Amino acid sequence: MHFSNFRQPLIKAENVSHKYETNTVLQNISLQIFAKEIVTLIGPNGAGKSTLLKILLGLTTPSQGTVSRQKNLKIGFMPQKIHIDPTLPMTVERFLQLGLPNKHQTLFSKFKLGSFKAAYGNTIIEKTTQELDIVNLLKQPIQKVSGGEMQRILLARALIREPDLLVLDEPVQGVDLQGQTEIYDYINKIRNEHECGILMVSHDLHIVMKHTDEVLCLNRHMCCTGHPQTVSKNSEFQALFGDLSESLAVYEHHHNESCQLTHGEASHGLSAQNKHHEHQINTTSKPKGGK
Amino acid sequence: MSLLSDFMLLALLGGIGLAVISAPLGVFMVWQRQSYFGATLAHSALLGISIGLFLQIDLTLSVILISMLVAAAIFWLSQHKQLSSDTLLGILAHSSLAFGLVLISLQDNIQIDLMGYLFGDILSINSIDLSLILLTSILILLFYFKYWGALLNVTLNPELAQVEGINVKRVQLLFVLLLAFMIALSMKIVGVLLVTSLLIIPAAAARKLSTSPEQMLGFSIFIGVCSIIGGLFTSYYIDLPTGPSIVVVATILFLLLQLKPQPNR
Repeated sequence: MHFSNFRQPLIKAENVSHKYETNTVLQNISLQIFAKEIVTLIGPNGAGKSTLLKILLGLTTPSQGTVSRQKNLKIGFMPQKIHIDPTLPMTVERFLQLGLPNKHQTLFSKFKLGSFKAAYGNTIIEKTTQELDIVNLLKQPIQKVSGGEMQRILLARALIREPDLLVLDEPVQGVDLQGQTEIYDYINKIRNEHECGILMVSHDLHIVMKHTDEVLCLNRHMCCTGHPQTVSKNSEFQALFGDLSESLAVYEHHHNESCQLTHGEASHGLSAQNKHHEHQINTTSKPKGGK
Repeated sequence: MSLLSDFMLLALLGGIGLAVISAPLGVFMVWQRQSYFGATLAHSALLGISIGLFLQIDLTLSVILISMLVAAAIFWLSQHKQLSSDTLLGILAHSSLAFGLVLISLQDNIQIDLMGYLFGDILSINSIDLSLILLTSILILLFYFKYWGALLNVTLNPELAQVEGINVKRVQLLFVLLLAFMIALSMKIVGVLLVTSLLIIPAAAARKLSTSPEQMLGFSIFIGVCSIIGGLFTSYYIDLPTGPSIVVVATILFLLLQLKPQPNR
């Protein structure tokens, strides 16, 4: 039952606090993300979600605490939005090629067409774009695609790096409802196929929960953590999200009926269960009020 | 008996060299919306001149040193910024110009030739200038050989680039220093106005023709070279001031290309 103890986390934050000037935005955050695990970070605006993400990604050094990563951890990052100047002529295909983990993308590498790496890279791009259904966009200028298409392109770019840890900042922003389900299902599939860990930031509580193993509810401090069901029953969570948590509960109900099997199959289900209990303890032992 | 006099040949070689080295820097200035950056550096070159005169050291050297210092200052300030880079550049451009002018006026017997400052004198290029241009082009070639893809990624999104393992600060600092070096060097030859024009206008004109970054670089070099040749010959045959003629030709090329519809609908 203590299977999870033998696994090394991909990334681990210990007692991380962060201040901008005198304004504390994060207080004493600890978390771990393991391979094959989907962790969703939720919280209201100004809760410090983006700051925490930047700290985990190594873009910001926290005022206190440490972040440790597994050696040679490959991170695929999908930013929330990206603005590309219209003066930069670039097709979607080129944009994706630039994301390949090729250390030497020189001015001339474009002309080394026969090289093994290029061929290999293009295969990955082909496969990923097919799966995300964006092959028809490849030759288009990247500035011309729609918001929802851009999200898929950014996800594709994160994936072609074959990451150990996938970090997604609001991955379904601007995507229609059907597309959202597709993307979430796809993310779940990636987790199972590539065995990577996934950290997702979201404020869309509805759909998020479906495949998530662990929810981290952030409001400057870690309000509560645990399996979606546990979190949704937490009083602090309900205080934060109010009526939203009700619709969530309904959704969660559906989820349990339809997904029992897939969860049961994965050995991972056990460890998630395990952690779930730990977190319940966590929740009660940290009763610092959010409100 | 030769078709071209010696000074024309040197001017042509130097001008073409400058057009070639400004293209790779210019396209990134356009893509990163940094055209004011060039103007700021060009203005700070006057401070370099006056400090050089004050300390009685070689002017080219002092201009290069001061420009690179100002570039590093801009870089550092933008990292720790409370101000928008737009405001920052405005302050630095005009304060360095003012400091330069004040410092010059403190020294007796020195007058500056304003036209020379603005438009330089491309017809007075000598072999030392030519070899400096060659040196710069080698530096630029080395930089792009190593960092072309990285710089493109930084231009697309610095945070994404950093997460993907690019040393964003190093790439940006090197780019800025290279730009400062190039601007300082060409200041004397083509002057403040021409430097920025040569960086921005060919790159902007090339946009209409290009569907990839590399193409835009290529067309930018081509348009820059055409402007230099066109400008030099019109000024030679119709007796016009050389620097402004080059800018006028470049601008006409830019305007003509605006008539063309976008290649990629």
